[in-house]
Amino acid sequence: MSLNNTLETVSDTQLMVRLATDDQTALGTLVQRHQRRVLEVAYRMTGDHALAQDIGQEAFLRVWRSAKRYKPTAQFTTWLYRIIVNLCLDEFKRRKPITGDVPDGADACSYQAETVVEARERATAVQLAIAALPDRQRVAVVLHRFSGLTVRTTADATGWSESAVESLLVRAYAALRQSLSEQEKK
Amino acid sequence: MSCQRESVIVRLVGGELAEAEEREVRLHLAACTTCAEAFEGLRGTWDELGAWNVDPTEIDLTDRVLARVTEPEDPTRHQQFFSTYRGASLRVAASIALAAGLGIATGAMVPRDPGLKAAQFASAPSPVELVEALGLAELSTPSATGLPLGFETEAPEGAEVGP
Ligand SMILES: [Zn+2]
Repeated sequence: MSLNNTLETVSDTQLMVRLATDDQTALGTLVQRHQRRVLEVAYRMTGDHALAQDIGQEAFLRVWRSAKRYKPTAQFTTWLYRIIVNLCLDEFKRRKPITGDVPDGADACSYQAETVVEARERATAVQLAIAALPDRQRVAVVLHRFSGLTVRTTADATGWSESAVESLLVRAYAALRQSLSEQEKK
Repeated sequence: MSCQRESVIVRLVGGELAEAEEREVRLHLAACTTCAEAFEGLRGTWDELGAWNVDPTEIDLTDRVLARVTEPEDPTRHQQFFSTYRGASLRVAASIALAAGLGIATGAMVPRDPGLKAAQFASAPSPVELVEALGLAELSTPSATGLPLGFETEAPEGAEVGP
């Protein structure tokens, strides 16, 4: 059994303790364990595959750099989400809002079963509706709807108050409802 | 029981109300058309959002991350990340449109184009520009999140919640 396999059953907190002693296999295990959620949330927030991977890499490097000072006063994943949220918010400050029209993919898709095309169109509609949200609403909704965080943990992961997160979510879901129903009418 | 705040409906749809509270809210919904409609509307949106699947399983960051950890300490490391970052940001709208066009929205994320980084570096801003544009004071922060370690959950000073 490899060391990495051995570490699979070790808790995140214990891995951070090992990482603090420069045990880099612990970092490898943390990456393996959490990269899917990191990449998914970064992609949903930015809409950019390459950028999501850069953010993912930087997030784990920040985990590594912080290992010696890490204090497990909340779940490791909440802390990890907070790193990603901050990296994404930094990015949003630097760039123009995500917009983008739905491309005409009808020709490319015409050979596929109608249900597949419909599913793809629904997914595209959702992606565009999410992308059109103001940054903070998008962050809140990605964490709450797609990453399965509660209002409380979304507040922990963003550093915003619970009432602020509630307000962002109420507005975000209302905007998404409207946006999706408008796209449906088209 | 009086009508529900919208945030309670959000928590109900998210499945995060305590059992007793959920029972109480559901009793109200059974008797109030306005709140029942609000609930059904939000639940419909919640379900619709589920159409967007993202599958990053083909991507493995392990080698990339460990390669950076084992390389000698490079003082420009953060700058490199942000210069790459900035270059990448210009492609966001195009990427979304392309992803949608290719149907990536419903499927797997694509592995990063290895040629991309070189192209981005070619147009990277100068270190001076970076310091100004990126607020590199952040680079010396003792916390990975930019906030004190230990998961303080209060909003950082000056944090805005709008829009
Ligand atoms: Zn009511």
